[in-house]
Amino acid sequence: MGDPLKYYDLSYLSNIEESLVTRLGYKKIFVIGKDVHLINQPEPSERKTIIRSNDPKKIASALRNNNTIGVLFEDNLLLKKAIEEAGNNDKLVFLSLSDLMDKDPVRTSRNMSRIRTIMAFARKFGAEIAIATFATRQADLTSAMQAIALGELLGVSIDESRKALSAIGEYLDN
Amino acid sequence: MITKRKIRYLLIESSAPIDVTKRAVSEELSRNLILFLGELTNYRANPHINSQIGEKVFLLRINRGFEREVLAALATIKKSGGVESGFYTLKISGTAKKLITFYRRHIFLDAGQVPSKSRT
Repeated sequence: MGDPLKYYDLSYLSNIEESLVTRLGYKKIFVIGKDVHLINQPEPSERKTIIRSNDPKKIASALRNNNTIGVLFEDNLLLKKAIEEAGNNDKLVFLSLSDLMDKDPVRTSRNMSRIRTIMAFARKFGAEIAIATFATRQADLTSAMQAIALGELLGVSIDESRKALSAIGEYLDN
Repeated sequence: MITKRKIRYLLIESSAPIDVTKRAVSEELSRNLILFLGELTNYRANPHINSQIGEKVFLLRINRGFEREVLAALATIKKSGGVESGFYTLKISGTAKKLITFYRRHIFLDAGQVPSKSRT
């Protein structure tokens, strides 16, 4: 039997207690702005980055950089070319679980259907999916179990959902 | 003929202190669950607050087979009793006793307290 999967998360919070991280079921919660950086346009840098944009040209250019680990679509708008580019370059397609926790149920259900579409195209083009909370406050964090359940509800199998939650570790946990 | 109840218990930790024994808090939680689950799934899942076992920890009882839906619903609730709080589902079990034992061994100790030596 192989090693059990290790789960990771991404958040803006830098002061999460180690005991809480363990209780939530994660090996580590990476900090945005410290372990990885969100960028709006491609930049030549040594630090690990995630491109967050709706411009297909900027995304394609950033994904060719070795230090860019993946793409996060703004407003979860589907860009087929960008997903295909991510699949070709072995980069991650990030999905933010915070978008499913909006106060407005109309926005939440719209985000859900958009994320479902992105997942379907990522599967079609062979791009690896990564799910993370991108939490800005403690209340936005979820346990690994809950993140997997949310992934399942969005249309992936439980194995794919577990793999999506552990995908970040390959790029950031060295 | 007595049919066996098919139930699951969820060990839930809140990010802020919560008192689920208060009617207003438990009703707000129920309303938020119905908002995500819908009335039909809420009826089928039948979530009920079982007991409060710590300042931030309580047990929720649901019907077996609806764990995924209730887990996802709890992840989307961000407010309770007017206070911003997230709900983390730490463990699921078929018996409340196992969850209470888990709480005493892991979460209780994390808080720096020493559990009593009495049998659970």
